[in-house]
Formats: sequence, C-alpha cells, structure tokens
Amino acid sequence: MIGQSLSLRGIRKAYDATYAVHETDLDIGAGEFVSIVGPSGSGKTTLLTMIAGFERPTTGSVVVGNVDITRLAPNRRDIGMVFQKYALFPHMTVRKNLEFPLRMRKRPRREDLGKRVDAMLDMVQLSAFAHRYPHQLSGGQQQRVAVGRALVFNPPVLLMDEPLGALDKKLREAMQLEVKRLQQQLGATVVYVTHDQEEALTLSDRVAVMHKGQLEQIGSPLELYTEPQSAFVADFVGTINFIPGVVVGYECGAATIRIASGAIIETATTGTQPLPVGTMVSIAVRPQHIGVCPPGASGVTGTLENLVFSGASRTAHVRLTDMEGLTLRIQVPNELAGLPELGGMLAVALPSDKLKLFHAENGRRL
Amino acid sequence: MPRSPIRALRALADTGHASRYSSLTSAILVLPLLAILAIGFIYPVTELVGLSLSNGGASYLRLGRDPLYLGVLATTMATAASVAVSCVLLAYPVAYAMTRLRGGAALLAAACVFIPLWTSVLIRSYAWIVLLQRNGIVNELLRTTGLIDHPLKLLYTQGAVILGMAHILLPFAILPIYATLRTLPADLVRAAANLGAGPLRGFLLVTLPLSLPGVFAGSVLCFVLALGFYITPALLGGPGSMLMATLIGQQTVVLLDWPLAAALSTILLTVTLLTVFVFRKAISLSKGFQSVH
Repeated sequence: MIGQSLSLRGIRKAYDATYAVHETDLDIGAGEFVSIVGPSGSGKTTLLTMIAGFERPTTGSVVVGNVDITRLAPNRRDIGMVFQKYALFPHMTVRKNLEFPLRMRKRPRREDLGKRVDAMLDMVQLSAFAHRYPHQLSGGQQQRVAVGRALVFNPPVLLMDEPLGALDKKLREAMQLEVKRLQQQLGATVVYVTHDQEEALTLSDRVAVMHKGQLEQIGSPLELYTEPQSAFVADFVGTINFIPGVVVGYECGAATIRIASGAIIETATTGTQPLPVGTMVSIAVRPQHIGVCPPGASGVTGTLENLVFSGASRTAHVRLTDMEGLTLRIQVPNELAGLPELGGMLAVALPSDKLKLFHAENGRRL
Repeated sequence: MPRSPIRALRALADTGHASRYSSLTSAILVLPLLAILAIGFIYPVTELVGLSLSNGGASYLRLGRDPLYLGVLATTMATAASVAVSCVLLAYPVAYAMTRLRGGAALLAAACVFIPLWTSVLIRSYAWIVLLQRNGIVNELLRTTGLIDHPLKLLYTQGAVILGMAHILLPFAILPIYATLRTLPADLVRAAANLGAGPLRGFLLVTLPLSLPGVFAGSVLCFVLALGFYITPALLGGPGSMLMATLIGQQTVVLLDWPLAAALSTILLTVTLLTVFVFRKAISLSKGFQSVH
C-alpha cells in the first residue's frame, strides 16, 4: 500500500565510540512530505540508510504503518528509494528497470505487469523512451526513471537521497514541481534528504533540521522560519543576523542585554526558567525586522558599508560601532529615502518583539 | 584515399584526452614505441610468414595432411580453454572478496595475488613437480590419511599441465575482474536490494552481468597466454600432451625444420588473433555495457 506512516523510535547509530546519529524520534504521517536537511556529516544520510535497511540502528526501531521493520533485510522492507546518482541498472532498458521491482515480487501477474509499467511510464512521461538504455537519456530523464522505478511497486514510504543534486538549477526547479505533483497524485509518504534548505522549504509539509547527528527541530517551513528553536536552525533557514551580548537584567518574559559597545537592548524571552545575570547570549534578528534611522545620542549605531540592490528591496551592510567589525545585513525598502552616503553613520532600531534570544554556548532558544 | 604517415599517426594518437598535444608532439611521443614494434614485432613476423611460405606452401600442406600436427593444435586449444575457464571460475570469488576487504586484509589479499606474479614461472612449475611427483607431498598426504594404497600418477598428465598453468595465470584473471567489480557503483547493489532482490538474485541480475567485461577480458588474457605456454607443459606434461609451443621448439631446435616451425607459429598467431577479435566483438555486441565501460 502506498502512503503509510513512518516512525523512528529512539533510533541511534554509533560507529565505534562516535555517534553518527544521536537518539532521535521522528513521526511522519501517511501521505506526508518530510524533508531532512542539514550540512554534510549531520547524519541525515545515515538516518535514511537506516530506514532503507542498509544499516542497522545501534538502538531504537523503525516502524512502517504498524509493522516494526527494524530487523528486516532491505529487500524485504518494500520501501522505495531514489538514489543520489539514480543507480539505474545500466544493462537494462528503461522498461526493464521499471519491471525489476515487480518481477522481484512476483506480483502483479504477467499481463498486469505490462500495464503497471505502462501506467508508470506514462506518469513520468517516458513512454517514448521505454526501450532506451539509461546512458541514452538526459539527466532529467534518468531522474524520472529512478522516481518511476521507486514508485511502480506502490511502496508505503518513498525515500529520496538528494535526488536533484546532479541537475542544473533550471532543471532542478522543474523536477521539484514534478516530484511534488507525483507525490500528491499518488498520496505517497516521502522522506526527502537534501542539503539545499530552499528546496526543502519549497517541497515539504514539514522540515526536519539535523545538526551534528541530532535532530534540532522539526516543523512546517513557516514554523522553522518564524520560531526557530536553536541558533543553528535560525541560521540555516533563511538569512539572520547574530549579535553577541550578556544578560544584565531579567524579569518574566523580558531580558535586558548589554552588547560590547555598551548599548543596552531589550528583548522578549520564551523560557520559563529565569535567566541569570551574566549569561552569554546571542540576539538573532532577520534583515527585514531591523529599522534604520538618523544617528541619535544613544542606541546602536553603525557605518553604512555597502548597499546592494536585490530586486524587491535593497540590502544594507552596516558595520556596528565598537562591535569588533560585526556587520548587520538589513533589508531596506527601495522607496526609503534619506540614507546616508556610503561610509556615513546611522542608527539601528531593534524592535524587542522581533528579537530572538539564544544561549551563546549551546545555541538553545531562551 | 592515401593518408600521410603523420595524419595516420595523429589519428592513432587522437583519443580526445590527448587532443591538447599538437600532431608533431604526438608523433614524437608515439615514434619510439612504433620503432620498437617495427624492429621487434612487425619485421620478425613478416620474416616468419615469409619463411613458412619459402618452400611454396609445402609446410602447410604437410600440416594439413598429418593429423598429428592438427591434433597438437586441438590439444593446445582445449588446454588453453580449460585453463581460461578454470582461471575465471577460481578468480571470480577471489576478486569479489577483494572488493569487500578493507585495510590490512585488503593489503594481504593484494600481496597474495601479486607475489606469485613476481615469482619465476620456472620455480612455480618446479614447485608443482615437488607437490605432484610419485613420492610427492600430495601422494604422501593421501597415503597417510589412508585414502589410497598406491601413489597416484599425478605428474606428467594433462591435468597437471592445466593445474600448473591455471595457477600461474590466475592473477591475470583476478585483476581484470577485480578492476571491473571495484568500479561497479555500490549503489547499484543497494538499489537491487531496495527493489526486492535478495543477495543471490541481486548478484545474478546486477553484479554478474555488469562484471562480464572483466570476465571476458580475464578469460581472453588467460586463453591467449596459455596458447603460447612453453616451460610449464614441458615440465609437467607427459608425451601424450604435447602443446604447440613445445612442438615448435622441437621443430626449430631438434629437427631443424624451420619452414614447418614457421608455419606452425603462423597458425598459432592467427588463431590467437582470431580469438581476441571474436571476444572483442562479443563484448561490443552485449548491449548496455557502453554506459558502464
């Protein structure tokens, strides 16, 4: 049955003494499209290979639907997978490649097998290429064969390991739409691994961010963007500025931070634990949330270093005064007038409700 | 259309990757090899063919009339074929295991393949005499374990020749098969498993067919090398298992019938070239391999 739920329960993978994946729980609903993103070495591919069964988890279990498949061999798992370099069988035609998983299962019957393959060829728009060999196809066509081959046996879960990484930008965007269309049409449950955050945000219902073998946060693209739970997620999804500082005052829901220049910044906090005075923190703020004003007597000031036109708006690079060269990226509306010349001084407004506070050492949201 | 030697050389040298060299540079680079080939191969072979025809083809007529000579040719081909098949069958598991090994074990396996290759064929053939002779190690072992009462005749048989030659030629089968298996993307095997093929079916449907170019290369190499073996059959073979090389040596050195020896050599050379040609054709006809190699 295509489109079943997938649960990873307390899954861990250790190589000798080091952990590739720390204890992770992940629940993916039937028909959901979940991306796993993270830099290389963050453990996202290890997670995928454990779901596919190429590696056994050190502890924990993998459950598809209601069935625990942790101890099943890869060929008994029924999980579809699109490999990074497609892994099409070079000595078989497109049709033979698509028939392969059906023949391995001895279902459906012979006459239905042809129909199933034809239907899938039609769905991935390769009917005219059925008798070609993989090397006679373009990159995008090979990719479609790989997707077709992974879906033709109606797998309960489809894994995709950076499937678009080898394609150029334009084709990649076209294929993203294609993958999304197929997924929705078939109601497939998809786990999609990529290091491209933009791709993940475009395609997914939910995105899981991995960092150093740990699942940092999982949520809808909007949640990750607006409510990042760690400095890493805040930095990984979209653009953000970090300003280091130290806590000098705390009362429930609000903290007073002093930054290196001596300026005082008021922020909101989310935690229930009081913030001790002296805690080293990092203030995060998105470029579009920073205001610019003429320089005043107090507050945070800086020099305008660069102004880059980027279509709908401009990005100002402002080097803060007495902040060891820290430069903020600030989004400035095109129609905003009265900006100083390059090298001129300006004041920076940091609205307290838009600021997010993270622990300087462990990166947790405060 | 007549082609200038330089253009012919250029065509020879033009493999795409080398296109950054000028035609003159390519010609200079290829020249030493061509000179050696001309002096050491083309000239002697031409002489040889000339010599075999020196008495108006009488040597070939004699070869065709006397079943002894054709018999030796047939034995040689059969022996070489047996050796090639044995080599490939023995080499495949070794090559396959080598692709699975890591670190020290891989080094040890490589050493086991290469060190015999650096040892003299003569020494290795004599080693087999020590093992197989009437009171040799194998017979002693079989007698002390009570499996046989009287020593078996192991040495000076066709079997001993095939065994010795297969042992000597084994690395030539292992290396091409290993090279093919190693370049086989690991993801293909994983994909087969992921799509529902168990280890055996995955091997038979994916790994084996994709490693056939290496198997072909290894078997041709062993077959062709086995056709010209001289020392090993001479040492391990009996009078009934004379091979072409031994026969040619006899005609040249003992009976001094040089035209006949030349005719025999020409036939052996032709058979060798034909084999290589047929195998190459077979490989290029097997569809889909273009993308792998």
